Amino acid sequence: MSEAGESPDRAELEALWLRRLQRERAARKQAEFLIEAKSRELYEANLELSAHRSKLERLVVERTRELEEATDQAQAANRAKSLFLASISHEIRTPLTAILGYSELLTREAPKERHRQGWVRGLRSNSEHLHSLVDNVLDLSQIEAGELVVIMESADVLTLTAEVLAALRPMADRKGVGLTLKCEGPIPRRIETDPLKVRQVLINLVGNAINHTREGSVSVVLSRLGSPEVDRARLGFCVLDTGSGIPREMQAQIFESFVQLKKSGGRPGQGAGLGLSISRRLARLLGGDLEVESELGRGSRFTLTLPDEGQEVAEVVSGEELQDLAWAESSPAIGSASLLHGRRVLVVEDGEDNRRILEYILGAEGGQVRCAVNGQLGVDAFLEAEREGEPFDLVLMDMEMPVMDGYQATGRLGELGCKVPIVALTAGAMSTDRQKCLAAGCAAYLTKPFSLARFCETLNDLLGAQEPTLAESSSLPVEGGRGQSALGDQLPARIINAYLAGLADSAQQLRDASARADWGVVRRLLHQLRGSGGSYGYPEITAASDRCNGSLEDESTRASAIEEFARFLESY
Amino acid sequence: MKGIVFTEFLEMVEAAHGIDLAYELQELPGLASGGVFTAIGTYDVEDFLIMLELLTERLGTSMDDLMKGYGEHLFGRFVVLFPDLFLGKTDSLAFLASIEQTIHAEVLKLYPEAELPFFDLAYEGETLVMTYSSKRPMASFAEGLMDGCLLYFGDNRTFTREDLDGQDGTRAVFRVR
Repeated sequence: MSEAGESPDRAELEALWLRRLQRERAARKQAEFLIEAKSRELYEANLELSAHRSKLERLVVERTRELEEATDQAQAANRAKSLFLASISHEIRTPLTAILGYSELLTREAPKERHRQGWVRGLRSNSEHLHSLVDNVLDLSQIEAGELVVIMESADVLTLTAEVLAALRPMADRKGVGLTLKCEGPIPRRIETDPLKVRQVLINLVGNAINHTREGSVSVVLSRLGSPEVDRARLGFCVLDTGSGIPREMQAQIFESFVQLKKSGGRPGQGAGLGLSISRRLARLLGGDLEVESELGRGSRFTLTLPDEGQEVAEVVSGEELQDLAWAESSPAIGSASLLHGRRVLVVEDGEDNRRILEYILGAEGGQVRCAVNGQLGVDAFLEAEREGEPFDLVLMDMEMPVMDGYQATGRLGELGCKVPIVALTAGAMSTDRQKCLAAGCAAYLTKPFSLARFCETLNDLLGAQEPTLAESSSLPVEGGRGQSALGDQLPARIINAYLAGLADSAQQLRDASARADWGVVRRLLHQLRGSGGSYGYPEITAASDRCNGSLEDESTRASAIEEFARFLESY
Repeated sequence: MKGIVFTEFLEMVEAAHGIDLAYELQELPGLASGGVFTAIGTYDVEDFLIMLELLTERLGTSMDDLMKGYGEHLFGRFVVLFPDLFLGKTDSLAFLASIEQTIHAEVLKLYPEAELPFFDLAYEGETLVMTYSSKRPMASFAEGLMDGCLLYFGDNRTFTREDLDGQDGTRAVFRVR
C-alpha cells in the first residue's frame, strides 16, 4: 500500500473515529455532569431534611415543655379545687353536725324547757351559719366563673351605709359595742355602683369588726380619697374597730379564701373565711378595692374604695344630717312589711307546706292571700279575680310545678296583659336562674328558703314604688340585712304542728310513689319537702331530702333510701 | 424525551444494522444535541424524529412500523434494565392499568422534569380502554410498547387501536381485552 494511496482514506477514517471518540467523551462528560448535579441536588435535599428534622425536634421539645407547664397548671388547679372542696366540706360538716346533734336530742328526749330553748337556738344559729356559707360559696363560684352580674345604678351613699348599720345594730347592741357613722370632708351624695354588692361588702366588714371587738366601738367613716383634681377620685368607706388587730404576717392572707383569724383563746372565728375574699373581689368588680391596715392590740381599719368620677360633691353637715341618719338607723332599715296591708296576693305554689307558711306570713302582715297549686290554676285564679273586680296586687310564683310551671304561667299572664308584679320563688340560686325568671317576665326573684327580710326588701321595691303607704307598726319583727334565715321560730305553734303532722302523709305518699316506681312524683315530693324544711326551720329535712334525691340515680339503693327518709319524716 | 429512549434506539440500530449506520444517525446535521446522548439526559424529541426519518429512507420502512418495532424492542429492554418493576406482575392488563401509578411514578422520582405521555383509563366491561395523549405524534411507539408488553406476559390478550384528532398520532384509544 502506497503512502499517498492510503493517506486520504486513513486520514478520513481517523477524522471519523476522532469525531466518534469526541462524541463519546462529550456523552461521558455530560453524564458525569448530570450525575454530579443530581448528587448535589440530593445533598441539598438531605440538608434541608435534616434542618427540618432539627426544627421538628426543637418543636417537640418546646411543645413537651408547654404541655408539662399546662399539666402543672392543671394539677395545681386541681389541687386548689380539692383543697377548696375539702375546706368547704369541713365547713359544711361542722354546723351540719351540730344541727343533726341538736335535732336528734330534740326528737329523742322530752327536754327541760331551759335545754330545749338552748338546743333550738343552737339549731337556728348553725342553720344560719350554713345558709350564709352556702350563699358565700355560690357567690365565690360565680365570681370565679365570671358569672356574677353587677347592676350599676345611682346609689345614695349615706342611706346605703345607714341601712347597713341599722341592720347590724342589734348584733352590736348584744355585744355592747358602739356603732357610729361619720363623714370627713365633702363627699358625693350619690355614686354609680351596684348598691346590693356594696351593701354585701359593708355588712361583711362591719359584721367582722363587731365580731372581733370585745369592747369599744366600730365606726364607719366616709371620705373622699385623693385630690378632687385627680381624675381617679375615690370614695372611701373606712370601717374602724378597736378590736384585737391582725398580725402583720396575716394581713395579706386574710383576703384569701378559707383564711380566718383565730379569736382570742385559739378558737377560730365564725364563718368559713370566705367573706373578705368575696368582699375584695366584689370591690374590684365594682372598679374599686379593699385594703387593710391593722395594729395588733389596737384595732383594724378596712378601707373599701369605690370610683366616684364626675359626681357632684357636697359637704355633709355633721350635725343635723347625721342626726337624721341616726334616726334612720334606729328605724327598721328595710321597708315595712305592712306595705302588704289590704293587698291582695296570689300565691302559686305546689308544695302544701310552703303554701301554708306563705299564707300565714302574708296574712299576718295584713295581706289577703289566695292560693293556687299549679300554674294553670294560678292563671285561672288571676282571671277570676279580674272578672270579679278584685284584682291581685302581687303574685308570688313558684317556678317548678306540675301541670304548668311558673315560667309558662308567668308568660301566659304576660300574654293576658297582666301588669301586676310577679315575684319568682325558686330553689335555684345561680345567676342564670335569676336571668331565666326575669326573662320569663317576673318583676323580681327570691330564692328559697323564703326570707321575710328579703321579701320585704323586694316588696318595698315593687309596691312601695307603686303606692307609698304610711308604715304601721309591724306585728312581726323585721330583720334587715342579707342572709336571714328561715322563719321557723316566728311561726305560731299551730302552723308548725300542722306542718309536722303532715310529714307522715308525705312519708306515705313517698312510699306509694316509690312502690309505683313513679320517680317524677318522688322527685316532686322531695323538692317540696326540701323547700318547706328550710322555710319552717327544719334544715335537716332539707338536707335529708337532698340526700334522698341524690340517691335516686342508683337503682339498687333508691328504694331503701326512700324508706329511710320516710321513717325519718315519721319521727317528727 | 428521556435519554434512555435515544441510547437504546442507537444500540438497537447498531446491533441490527451495524455501528456505521448508528454513527451516521448521530452525525446528522440539525440534531440539537449534536448527536451526544446519555441515558440519564433529556433531549429534544425532534432529534429522535430526525434520526427516524433517515432510517426510513435507509431501510425503506414506514415511520409507523419503525416506531412500533422500536417500541416492542424497548419494552423487552425495560424488563432487563428494571426487573423490579415487573416483580410479582403476571397479568398484562393489570400491568397496563397500573402504568400511571407505578411506572410513571417511578420515573418521576428520578426525573421530576420528565414529560410523560398520559393514559386515561376506563373499563368497558372486561375491556381496558386506554386513551393515549401526548404532545408528540408517537401513538405507534406506544402501540409497539403494548405489543412488547403482551408478548412479555404471554397471557393471550389482544388490543385494538383507534386514532383520534385527525390521526396525527398524538391521540389514540387502545382497547385491551
